Amino acid sequence: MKFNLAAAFLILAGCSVPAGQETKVEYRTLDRRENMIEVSIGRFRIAIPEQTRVASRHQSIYGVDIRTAPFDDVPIATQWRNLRAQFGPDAREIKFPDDAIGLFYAPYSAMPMNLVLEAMRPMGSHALWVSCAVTAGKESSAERLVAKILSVYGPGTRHGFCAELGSIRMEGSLSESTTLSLVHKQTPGVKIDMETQTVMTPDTSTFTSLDEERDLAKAYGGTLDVRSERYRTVAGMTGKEFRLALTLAGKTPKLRYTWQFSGEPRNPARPHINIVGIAESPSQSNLEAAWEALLDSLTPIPMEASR
Amino acid sequence: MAKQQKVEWFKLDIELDGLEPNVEHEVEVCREAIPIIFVPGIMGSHLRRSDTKGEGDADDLPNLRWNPSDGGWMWDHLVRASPARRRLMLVNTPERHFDPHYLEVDEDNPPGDGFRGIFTDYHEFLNLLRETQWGEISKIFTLPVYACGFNWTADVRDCAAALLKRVDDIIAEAKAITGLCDKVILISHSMGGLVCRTASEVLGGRGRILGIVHGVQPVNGTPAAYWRIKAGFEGFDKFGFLQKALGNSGPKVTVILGNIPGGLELLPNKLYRSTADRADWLHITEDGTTLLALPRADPYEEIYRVKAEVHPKKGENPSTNTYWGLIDPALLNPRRVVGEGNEFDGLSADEYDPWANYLGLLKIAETLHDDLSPPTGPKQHPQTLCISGTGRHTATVVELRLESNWGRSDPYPNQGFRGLLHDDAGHNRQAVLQDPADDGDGTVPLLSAIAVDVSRRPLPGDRLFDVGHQSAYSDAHVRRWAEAAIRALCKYHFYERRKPAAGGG
Repeated sequence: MKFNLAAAFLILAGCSVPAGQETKVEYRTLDRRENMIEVSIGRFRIAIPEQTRVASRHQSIYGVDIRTAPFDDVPIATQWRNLRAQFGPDAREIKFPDDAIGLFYAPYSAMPMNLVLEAMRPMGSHALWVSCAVTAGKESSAERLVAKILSVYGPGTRHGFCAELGSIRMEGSLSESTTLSLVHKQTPGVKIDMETQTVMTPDTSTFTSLDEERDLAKAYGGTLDVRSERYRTVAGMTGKEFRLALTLAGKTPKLRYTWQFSGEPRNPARPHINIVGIAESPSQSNLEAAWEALLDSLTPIPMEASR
Repeated sequence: MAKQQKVEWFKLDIELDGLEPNVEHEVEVCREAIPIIFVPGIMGSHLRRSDTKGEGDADDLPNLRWNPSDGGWMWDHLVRASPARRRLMLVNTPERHFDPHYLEVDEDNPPGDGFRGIFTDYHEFLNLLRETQWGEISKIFTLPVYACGFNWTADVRDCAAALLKRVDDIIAEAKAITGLCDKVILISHSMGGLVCRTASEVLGGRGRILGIVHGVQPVNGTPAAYWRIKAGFEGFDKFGFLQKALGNSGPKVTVILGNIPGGLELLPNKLYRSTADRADWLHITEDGTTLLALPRADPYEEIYRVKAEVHPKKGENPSTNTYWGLIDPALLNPRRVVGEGNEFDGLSADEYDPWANYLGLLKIAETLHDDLSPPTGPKQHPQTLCISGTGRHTATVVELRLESNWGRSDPYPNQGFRGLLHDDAGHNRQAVLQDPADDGDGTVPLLSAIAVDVSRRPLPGDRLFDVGHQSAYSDAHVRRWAEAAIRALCKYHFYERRKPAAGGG
């Protein structure tokens, strides 16, 4: 699947940077027409170089974890049987519409009030799996919520809240979160993690504090080099970007790039976003390529199908 | 060829059985092994995802989950991590609760000396112990040195059970080598002291333990645990950053310590006293006057089970919100918004109550505290020696000082907390958490650290040192004291062995 270039230009055109906050950084121009992979997660789509792969991903909407899995690895019946066997006779199986099934179980015997509801809906060549934490006595609320999420899932990621092979098509939630972990295929130390989380108030708690970073470096006998610090607008969202290098005695210097957007209150389309890229210094170009591709390509996915 | 026979050292002056006339006998005297096992403090053990080798990544996260020995690792994985990611690293996956089997100590299998599993800054002290020339003692005792890390996110009781299992394995290993080993000496740092006492006095391990040497133990808990849940960890040296990596603000720390029993077990228990006769340690003050002093008797009912409402209710003058409660429920699960949104947000909020989960974990902590520190006093091994630290600003009492508020709206600045409220006239007020100002080691107040001290213990006795909490065993005086404490326990054991009833000789 190839990346559509149009979105990146729109993003760059919408840049607005608070005066006096930008330091000069030179960026390479990437050719996004070739050798890119498209990834949809939650409310966003990105394109990353082919040398990068998705190591893991997680999506949660209405506090319910969702994931999709193709049938070709382990047969669905075997997967379900394994789950069922793991929790023994105390687990309670329930039926949902569309051949979906669910299981309530208590994973930690010392805390029997803490339940998990795990459910699965077969979807032709793949299955939708969902799970959520449930407090004992509240099973009916969990059943209703999970039934709704199972019922509004559809294959394809052109709109809605996206998992790997499909999306949840319903009203946006105040509790949506995603994590995506990307690694470089040839240089495993190059890694980018992206987190999104809806917020009730803008979240600045994860913002980089340079004083603290410097103190940490000093405590471990190292030094911190701030290579750049600036506001950067991505997909119409102005966040703060840092590029830091940490040097500890006897170790290869480490790089960390961060871009953090504090989020708009109650807006699932503009959540708090925290993107962190790490690499050892010799792998800077690989980090740089993936970093620029990800940020330049970040594009919102419509909540609903276009009419 | 000589006929060989082994004799335990304490039976040397007893007539040997089985000697035959006109036969050459070779008698080997068995030295006795007394393994020394070091048990670190909270955050002093390396942790990994269970059933992995602690290498590589899986499911978006490193399999190694806590590695304070490597500043680069901490920088990569924890220093700037969001509350949600911290929860993922140390508590469980987002829609699951705490599970004691989620993490384990990152050590070899079998663990060998156990050093790999603990913070490398402890190694210098342990290597010194290993190289110590024990003089006369070494003629009959051999003192191998081990470390036993523990999963500090879990219930202390579970950690203590794992410690006893390790004690059994070490005794068996030492016995196989020397032929004689029944007991170990435990050396603890901080929370490790609770683990050792639980192993000895709650789980019935006393008979396998010769004695316990405690360093800076929060015997009856520490208000610093409350302070840090409200405001984040402070700290400016390497050890401070070790803690700070857990979180420098209330939201970052609550999402960890409010979701694991291990952190809650460091809170002041029902025996905690701020002075010789005062149970209260949480004071709300205004202009030098104490308006409220808690707890009167039970911190669980009066502070820990009270929801922290950090904002006043609209239109309520004066406001009655309980900002001083330990845990703000909104911070327990940062991935979920409670009490707002559409019908399905409502169902989401209803199906899972993180507060109920917290109360369950708190009950685990309370049960441990009640078992370890019943009304009759803190339980301790009969052969106990302790050091405590002084000379550092420490919270014996936590003070929330009422002040006027001209526009502050964030209850949770980094390393700070302010409860927001209204006065009678509807003016904004704030209750600002004050910096610690009493004496102790920076974490454990003196009265809690010395709660099991006894004045007539054998030399080197229970002692106070001018040391900080985290780095206590880096201090040369403390190291010398610990060595003397081990000698004292060996001497005690020597005389116990030689007693007719105990030694059989």
